[in-house]
Amino acid sequence: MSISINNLIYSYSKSPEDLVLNIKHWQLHEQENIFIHGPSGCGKTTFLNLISGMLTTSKDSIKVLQHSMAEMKGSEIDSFRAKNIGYIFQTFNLIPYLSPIENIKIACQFSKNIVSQSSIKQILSDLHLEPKTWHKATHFLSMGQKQRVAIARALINQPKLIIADEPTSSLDEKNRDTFMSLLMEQTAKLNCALLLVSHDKSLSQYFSRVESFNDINTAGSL
Amino acid sequence: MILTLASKSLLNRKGSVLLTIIAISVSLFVLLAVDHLRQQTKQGFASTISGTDLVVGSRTSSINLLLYSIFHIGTPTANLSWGSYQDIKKHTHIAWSIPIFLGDSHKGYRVMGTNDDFFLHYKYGKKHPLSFSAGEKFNGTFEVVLGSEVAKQLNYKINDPIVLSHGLVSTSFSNHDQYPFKIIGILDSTGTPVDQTLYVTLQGIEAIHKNSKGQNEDLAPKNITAFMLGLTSRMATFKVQKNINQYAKEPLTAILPGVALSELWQIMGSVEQVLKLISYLVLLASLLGLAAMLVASINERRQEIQLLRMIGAPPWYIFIIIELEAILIALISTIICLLALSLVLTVFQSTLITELGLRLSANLFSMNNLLIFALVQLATIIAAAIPAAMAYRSAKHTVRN
Repeated sequence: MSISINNLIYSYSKSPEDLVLNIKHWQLHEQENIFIHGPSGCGKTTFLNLISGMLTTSKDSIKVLQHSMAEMKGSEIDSFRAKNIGYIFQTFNLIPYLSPIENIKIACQFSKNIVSQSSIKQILSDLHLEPKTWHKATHFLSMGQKQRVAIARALINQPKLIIADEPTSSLDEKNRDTFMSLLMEQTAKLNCALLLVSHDKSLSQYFSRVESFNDINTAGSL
Repeated sequence: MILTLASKSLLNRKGSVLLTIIAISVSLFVLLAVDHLRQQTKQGFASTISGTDLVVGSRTSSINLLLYSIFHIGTPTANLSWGSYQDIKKHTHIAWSIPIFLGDSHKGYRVMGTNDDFFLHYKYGKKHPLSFSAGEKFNGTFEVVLGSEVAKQLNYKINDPIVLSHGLVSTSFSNHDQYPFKIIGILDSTGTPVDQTLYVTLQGIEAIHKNSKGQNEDLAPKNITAFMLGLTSRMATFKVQKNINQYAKEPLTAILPGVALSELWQIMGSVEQVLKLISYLVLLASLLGLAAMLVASINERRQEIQLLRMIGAPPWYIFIIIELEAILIALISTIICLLALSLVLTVFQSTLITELGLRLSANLFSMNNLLIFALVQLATIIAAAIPAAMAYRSAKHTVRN
């Protein structure tokens, strides 16, 4: 099982009375791809932050790759996230003043994976990123190019789970399709699970499993 | 990789980082310049005279006598008679004496009238005697021995003729043109005012002031400016000093060079402390500026911190990045300061020597300076701890919403 959630109840400490998440039972199987759609502000990002360990709950309600997130210490969560989870965001996926190669190397540093320069170049080539862009600071790259570097960065440690939070929101239709095709192709190649959340329902076509976040999270309906 | 991240992050914020570097460099420059000046002056003064038990001049303050007779700073207040000198040097406890006559110059460098005893008994540093890099000590009336710096700066060689000027200014119009002196010797470098002085015989001084050719004339000096004394026993120092200070025929002052130097440092001490305090405050202000710049940058870099956390960076990594950035800024500032100060000392070396009589080494790598650099680095780490702690907290509680 990639992710297993049981009786997750979550609210921010600043306003404990406002329940953000209430998930009875939810699972993501190994190597499974899922698309969760939902409107902005419905708690999708909080859901992803809890899965990645950026937010924590005291209750043992979330297991990622058979590891209870509540039982791990902060440093263990950081290390676990670096080794096992690849993350792609809507924007600001990369350190703007570093080159694509350097951005990818940083991810390897935290996972303590020894990855050769040629492997990094190979993955950038696989994602159709031209060699002339490899050593440029990423703020010189187009949004489409940046998102492809983000895929490379997310995949370089061969994680078992990829989390993508609104990754296509800043892309035009053509770039969105290219991005999605490459993402699906690369995750399939790596045999990892993919959890993608977005408000854009048109992305459903790429996935065998599609769910509405409102069906998973009953907090709003209470 | 963390170093790449820190250095590229600084490059990404060139404007504010450059201003911070300039501010720290300037403050460090002030701190180091003041300290270097203090150290070198003390060292220079302390090593100028060694083995001399007493310095005697006409009645004046001990510091004034020490400054004009030994360091050639300022002008002598009055001369003392040759007869008094002759009388005193006969004292049983006196082993040797060196007469000093000052008042003439050559292109801004002071001319000192003396005799052979100067080359025989004068010691500097750790009782080093004078030695010649070329030629020998004077024998004739119109022969001159140059200090190493004079020869170097004015590009003089043995046997070159030179003309002395009356008075101590470099642009004197009263030259003793009709009495050229022949360079007979050049002294080795001593790192003391000796290097910036020309030495002639007392007879030579007398001759140019008397308009004499120096042949078959009585050129015995009438007056001298001061004299140095070496005693047969250190135990007799205070007794001889007392006798000279109570000399009936002429009001004289005898000083112990070491004691007079201590008095000078005492007077300078408070000024020194104020200067030091000001330099440290300037440095503190610029380090606080560095901390403020880093605090401002943390707000700009919140997304960057979040991203690093998402890809697995622990909060202490963010702390280290901020500290590393501060250390890099301090290191660059230190290097700039060292280069600038070395350049200034090299470029203005001759001006400092001729105008102020200060010989400052351009070598800044002393134990004391290394300690200052280490302290600056430590202060930087402490100052950067505030923004680094803020970044750490931000990293610990960061979530993307």
